[in-house]
Order: sequence, then C-alpha cells, then structure tokens
Amino acid sequence: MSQILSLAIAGVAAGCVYALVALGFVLIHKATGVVNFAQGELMMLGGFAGLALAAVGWPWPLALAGAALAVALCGLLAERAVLRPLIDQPHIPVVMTTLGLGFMLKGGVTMLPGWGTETHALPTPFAGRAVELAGTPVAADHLVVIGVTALLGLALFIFFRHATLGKALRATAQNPLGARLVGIPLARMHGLAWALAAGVAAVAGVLLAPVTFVHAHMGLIGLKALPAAVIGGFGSVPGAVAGGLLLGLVESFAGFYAPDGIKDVAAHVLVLAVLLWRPAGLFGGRAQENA
Amino acid sequence: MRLLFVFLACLAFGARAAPAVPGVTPTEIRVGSLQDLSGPIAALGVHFRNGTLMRFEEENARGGVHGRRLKLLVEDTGYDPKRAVLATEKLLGGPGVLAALHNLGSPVVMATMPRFLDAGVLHLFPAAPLKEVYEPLHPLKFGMSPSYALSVPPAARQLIAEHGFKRVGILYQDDDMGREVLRGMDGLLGELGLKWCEQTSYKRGATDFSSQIARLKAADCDFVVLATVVRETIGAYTEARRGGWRVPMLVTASGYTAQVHELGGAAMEGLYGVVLLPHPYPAAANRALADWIERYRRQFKAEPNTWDVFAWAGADLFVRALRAAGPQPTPARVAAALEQVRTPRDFFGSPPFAVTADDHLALRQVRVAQIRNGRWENVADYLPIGRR
Amino acid sequence: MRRARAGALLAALAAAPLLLSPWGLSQLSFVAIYAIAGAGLMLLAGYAGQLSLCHAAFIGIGAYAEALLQARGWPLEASLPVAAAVAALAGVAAAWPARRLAGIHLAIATLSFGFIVQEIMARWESLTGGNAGLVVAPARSLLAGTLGERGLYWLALALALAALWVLGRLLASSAGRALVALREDVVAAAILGVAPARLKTLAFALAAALAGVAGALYAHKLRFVSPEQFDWVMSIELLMMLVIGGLGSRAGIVLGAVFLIALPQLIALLRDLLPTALPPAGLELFAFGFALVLSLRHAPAGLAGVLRRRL
Repeated sequence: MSQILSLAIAGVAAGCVYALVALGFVLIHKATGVVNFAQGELMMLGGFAGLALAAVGWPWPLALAGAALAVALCGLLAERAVLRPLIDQPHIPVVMTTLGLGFMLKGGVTMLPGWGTETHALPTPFAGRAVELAGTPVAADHLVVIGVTALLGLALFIFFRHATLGKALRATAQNPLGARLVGIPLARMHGLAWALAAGVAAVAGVLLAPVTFVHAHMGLIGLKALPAAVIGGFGSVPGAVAGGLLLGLVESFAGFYAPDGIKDVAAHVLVLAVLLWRPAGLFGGRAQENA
Repeated sequence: MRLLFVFLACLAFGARAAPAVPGVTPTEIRVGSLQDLSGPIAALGVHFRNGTLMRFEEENARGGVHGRRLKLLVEDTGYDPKRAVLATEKLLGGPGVLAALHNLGSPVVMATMPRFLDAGVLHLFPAAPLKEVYEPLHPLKFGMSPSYALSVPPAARQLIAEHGFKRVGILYQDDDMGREVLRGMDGLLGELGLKWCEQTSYKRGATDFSSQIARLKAADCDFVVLATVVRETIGAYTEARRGGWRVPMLVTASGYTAQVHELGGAAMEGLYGVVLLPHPYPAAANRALADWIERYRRQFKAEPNTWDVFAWAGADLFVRALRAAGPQPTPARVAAALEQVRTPRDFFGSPPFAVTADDHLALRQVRVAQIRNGRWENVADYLPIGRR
Repeated sequence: MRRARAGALLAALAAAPLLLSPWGLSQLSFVAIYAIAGAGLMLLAGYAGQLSLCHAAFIGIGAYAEALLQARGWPLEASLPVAAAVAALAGVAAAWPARRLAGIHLAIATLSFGFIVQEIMARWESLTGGNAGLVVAPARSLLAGTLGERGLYWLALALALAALWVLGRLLASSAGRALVALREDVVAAAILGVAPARLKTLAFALAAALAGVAGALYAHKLRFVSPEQFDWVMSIELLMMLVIGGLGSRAGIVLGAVFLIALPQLIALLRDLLPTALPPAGLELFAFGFALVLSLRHAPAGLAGVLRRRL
C-alpha cells in the first residue's frame, strides 16, 4: 500500500514537470493554432538566462523573474520576426519554422564559449531539502514545481475563461476571421501569446534546473510534454495539467510494475491511443478538433 | 541544374596527390581525429581534442618528432555516423593521415574503423567502450580504454568481496554502454554464484528515476551498479538518498568525473566509481601535475578533466612510438614500436601502459574511488583486469 | 538545349566515380540516398500535405531488413525489394492512425510512432542485436557481385533517378491529382470521389517503401546500423531538406539533399581554413535552423524557386 502511495507521489511530482512545460504548448496553440516545436528550447533558454543572471549575482527570485522577462521578450521577437508573416500559411511551413527556431536557439546556446557544451547547476534556495508526505520523502524542488504548476495553471485558466484579453486570445484561435471582424488585433494577440508562452517556458527552465540541470539538451523534455498536452486535449489548460499528471503516474507505475522499456514508450503509446479514440483529448470533451 | 554542375565541380576539386606514406610529408606528420564538437557528447569531444592538441604542441615546441611537426586534423562528426564516414574519407584523401587518434563515439567508430584499417591507417585509442576496437587482433588497431564489460567487474568484485554483498542490482542506460556493463556483470555474478537481484533501465535523456529506484529498493538490493553518465548518476543517487536508502552504489567509468560531485553536491558523498585514469585535481597535485594543469588552463581557458588525461596519455603513447619508429615512419613501423613501448607510472598517477604483440589494449587496470569530502578519493590501488 | 544540358549532367553524374575522390563520391552517394527517401517524403508532405515525423523509422526498418537479409545470404535483387516491402508495411501501419487524423495531430501521431519503432529496434535484441547495433557487409548482388563504393553509388544514382521519374509520372496521373486535392481541401476531395483514407494509406505506403530502399542503401553505405541513428532528428532533417529545397518541386528534393550533405562539409572546410579561432560548437545546428527559417520566410518555394527565378 505504502509502495503504491509513494509511486503515486513520485508520479505526481514527475507529472508536474511535464505539465509545467505542457502549459506553454497549450498557450500558443490555444491562441494561434500553432504547435510550437521550439517550446523545449525556449525552456532551455530560460534555464541559461537564469544561470547568467545568477552568475552576475542576482538573487534567485530576481533571476527567475528576469529570465522570464528576457525570454518573453525573445518570444515576442520570434513571433514578430518569423511567425507573423506565416499567419495564414498551412501547418507544414509553420511547424518547420518553429523547428528551425528551435535549432537556432539550441545551436546559438551551444555556441556560447565555455558555457554551451557544459552542464550547469543552478542553485535554488530550497535545493536538497525534502518534505515527508505519507512516509514518502518529496524533494522541495518538486514541491515548488507542483505549487508553481498549480498556480500558473489556475491563473491561465482564469485568464482564458474570464479576462477579456484571454477571451480575445481564444477567439483569435477559434475563428481568426471572425475575431478580426469584431476588432481584435490578431497580430498583437499572437505576439502576446508567444510572449506569455516563452515566459512560462523560462519559469519552467529555471524551476527544473535542480531536477534536470541546465544544459543545451534540456529542451528534450519538450518531447514528453508535447504528448502530455495532446493527451489533455491540446487547447485546454486544465487538460494539460491533467495530461502531465496522467503521464507522470503512468510512467511511475509502468516503471515499477511493467517490463523495462515500457516506461520509455508509455507516453507515445498513450498519445497514439488518445489520438485514435478521443482526438479531442481525454479531458477536452468540448474542444473542437483542430484539424 | 547549373548549381548541380557547380557542386560536381567543387567535389572534383578536392583530389590531391598523396605522399608515399599517407600523412607523412617532409615537414609534417598528419594525424586525424573524429570528434563530436556539436552533437550530444560535445562536452567530451572538446576535451579529447584539447588533451591531444596539448601533447602535440608540447612536442612541436621541442622541434617535433625527427624534425617533423605533428599536425592534428580534428573533424567534427556531431556524433552522426553519416558525417563521420564523410569526414573519414576527407581525412584519407589528399596527403592523408598516418593515424586516427581518439575517435569519439560508438556509432562513429563502428562506421569508420573499417575504412581507416582498409586504407592502412593506424586506428589508435578510440574513445568508445567497445571491445571491437582492440579485438580481434589487427596489426593496425590499438585500444586504450577497456570495454565496460572488462572494467566494471573487477571493481565490483573487490567491493563485493570486501563488504560481502549478496543482492546485486543494476540501473543501466538503454544503449551500448548499458549492454556492455550488463554483459560483464553477468559473467562476474556467474563466477561468484550470485544472481541479479534486480535489473532496471532508463532511456538516454531521462530525468526521473523514482520508479527505477523504487524497484531496486523493493527488491532489497544491498549493492547497486550504475551504468549511467553524469546527470543520471546524480539523479539516481540523490533519489535513493532522499528516500533514506543508503545502499552502496558503484558507477562505471562514464560517471567518474568531477562534474558528478560539483553538480550533485553533498548528496553524492559515498558514491563509488570505477577509475580508469585519474581526474587531475589541482588541490592535491604534485609539482608536475600542477604545472600541467596550469599550462592547460592557459592554453584552453578551461579546467582539465579525466578525458584530457586520456587524450594526453594516448597522444603521449603515440609520440613515444613515433620517436621509436625512426625518421621514416610507416604505419607498420609505428605499430611495431607501439608494441615495445613501456611507460612508467606517470605524474597523473596513471598505471603503466603496455601493449604487446598479442594484446593491443593499452590499459588493463582499474581502481575504485569514492566521493569523500566533495571529491573522488582512491580507496584501493589499481587492480589487473581479465582478458575476457 | 535543355535536353543537351540534362544529358551532359547525367553523363557527368555517371562518370563521377572515375573523376572524384572517395570523399566527393561519398557525398554524392549520400545525396542520392537522401533524394530517394526525399522523393517519398515529398509525395507525402509536399504534395499530399501529410506531415510525417517518423520517416527515420521507415528508413531504419529498411536498413535493418536489408542488413538482416543480406546476413542470411539473400542477394541484393531479392533483399532490396523485400526491404522496401517491409518498410511499406510499416507505412501502412503508420497510416492507420493517420486515416482519422489531419494536420498537427497527424504530425504528433507519427512522431510517437517513430519513437515506438526505435524502441522496438533497441529492445528486440534477438533479431536486431539491440543497442550494440549490426555490422553490415558490402552489398552482394547476383548479377554484379559485391558492390564497392562505386557500385553502390551507381546503384543509388539509378534508384534516385528512378524514384524521381516515378514521382513525376505519379503526379501526372489521376491518383497524383487526387493526392494534391487531399492537401488542398479534404472535404472537397471527398465530394469529388477521392477516398481520403485509402489515398493516405497509399501515400504512406509508397513514401515508406522509398524510405526503405534508401535505408537499405544507407545500411551498406555506413556498414553499421544501430537504433540511435534512426531518431526523430533524422526525420526532421529530411523534412528540413525538402523545405529548403522547395516543397512541391522535384528539383527541390535534389537541391535540398545537396544542401543537407554539403553544408556541414562546407563548414568543416571553413574550419580548416581558419587557423586557430575554431568556429564554435553548435554552428551547424544554428546554420540549419537559420536557413530553414530564412527560406520559409523569404523563399517559400525553396532553393528550386530561387533558381527558377534567376534563370
């Protein structure tokens, strides 16, 4: 029994990591209909930005905020410079553009002399501490990730559901023409979505630093977070969190009970199953299929 | 279409005449090296390049070997075997190379080694944990680091004998390294009459090891072998320690780096590691080593690590053989000279290297270290390793 | 005039092994191999508008099939078609979820499919040798004996030309027009009597078969296959090559392949020329990303489009 409980807690902790990254995917997709394959790389950029700010002496909370702002600015710039011209394009050029953007970010960071090829630790004020939950010690780093994921998820949920700006963002994704007709500045909305998503990614990057360390390849976790977002129904903030948690739990239990290797493909099997039988996601009952 | 013509013309341009012995010109000895400078293990590639360059430049500063300067031609493969094949042919073309030194990465080495050997080029000390790089015996191929299947069991045997472990578990990376460690440990456990208590794996790039550690813990292992690299070593070890599980763990040579305790901090205390060549710690350095570290820092603006020691030692062996091979070196002469070279225990604390006519693996010793007070400390002297 | 030039190019390509260094020849071989895989992916992504992110899996399946069959003594004449057929079967399997999905959902489904195939290659040790990989012998053929580097190049060249020719014929046929209709408007295509599910399956099977052929040649070219070679990065590489070459153009396939193979070589040469200041790690990745973004932004028709405008 305690075994099951501790596996569940570990699964939730890992799942929140996926959920935090998945939130960024959902934000951009919800507002612009685009899947941003550079999301993981934006997160990596956030990690390095936090590292740089910490290295010049900024205290951790300031470094976190500074990294989020800096990367949000990068997101804004990226949208303005490379994605806006493609607004009415089919999905292949857009997907490829985000991939190209990701390559540029990863290549660019790798090129930083002395930094790019190394792995770095970004110390947090709560590093190394653990809290006992039902007999299972949980790292304070994970608790912070869980807390921030919950907070960000809630904030975004309220934003999209109730704030005018959030509704306008949703409208631009669901019906760009209609949104334009009612006077929503489409381009500015897209810029906002990218800035927000990049900021969220940077927060993820800094928070995950104690778990994954900061290195040029840390964006790979995006490949796990993307399935989480899909499982949750791509357009849904609570869905992304639920998808991340489900993925974390499945991996945790599969890693313990199933033969080796199942844990590694669980995310992908799950995603195929969901796409086949519930293309709108497990939790996105109302969401339309974004074909 | 015009572009294609231009491309063809460019390709044709590359061909140049080769000297009588590839890579040996009147003024230079050309040595090739396939490194990963832009891919997933670029962190290693940079050090293998630096260590080799450093030894070559030391020699060049003294006027070279028999009057010829040593020229290192580093090609970036990005850990991509396709690019490695192209880089190999580039190195083999034109003036060619006398030897390939420290080629990095298993897929790279597996795809390119036959090409170097077919061209009659020495294939020296690749940084790939494969027994194929020294066995079966081939006149031109020489290995430096033993495969994981050879290097892990003696260290594990020593710890098992000392502490009387009975329930051995393993966490391995699902790749060629993990496989080799498993293979070697299978043999050891068979000899000791033990069975695996638990085996569990992860995919490269994994960040969460909670379920694997839970599995090892539930199986009640009293000793765990980690076939992991840096980040995974830290992740797995801290996961276990956080849960209060203080089981002794031994990490393979891939995890014996200063990064493990620098990044992992105090949580890494007590971890055992398999040492091939020592990490150059400035704090405890003898005079020669301190001088070496200083020169390295000045030349590369970076801190040296065990991979630099490897690269330097391999380059040193090559230089010694080259010197012994006389003023007209050929691959066969250098190979014959290599089989005669004997080195003393050097200022790094490395064991003596020796290749013989019927054994082309230079390093046949390992030792065990443990992280104590934030650094790797040797806990026993070098042990000989088996021939299997 | 055009014909004369095409003939001259063909003659130059055929004579290349006699003129080029092994390095140059290998580059051409890789260009041909990538062009074969590219022709299939162009059909799928460029014309039918189906984004496949698992093409490396098809290449890998072809490579393993070829390696295993040749190791069991099959001659090239038999092993190559079977490798293509096995890959085509995998294509049909990948198309199964694809039949119900479109756009980005399809892309994600194929991405996951690719991961699962790669894991199977790594775990099915009794067949594939797992992560240790397989050493592949030079290709053996009944008619031509053992193929060296030159023979392999000629084979790859012939197959690449054939693949491009077949692609052209197919696009000119009614099936080809139906495929393009699938990209433009699924509903309209369905109304006009095009069966999207069957057509998608067909496109996937064909594309995978060509990828399988490319994989078989790739295995002989590298003489070593291991699961990690056929990762999602390779799939992206292929797509990148098509986009930079020019989506929806046959010339773009070849131009893109030249770009993909030659750019790292060019950067390597640059590195040789610079005496000490090494271009930093990551430059290639950055350059590829930059080229991709730039071509999508300023030259949506790719290199092929740029050249057409110039000429």
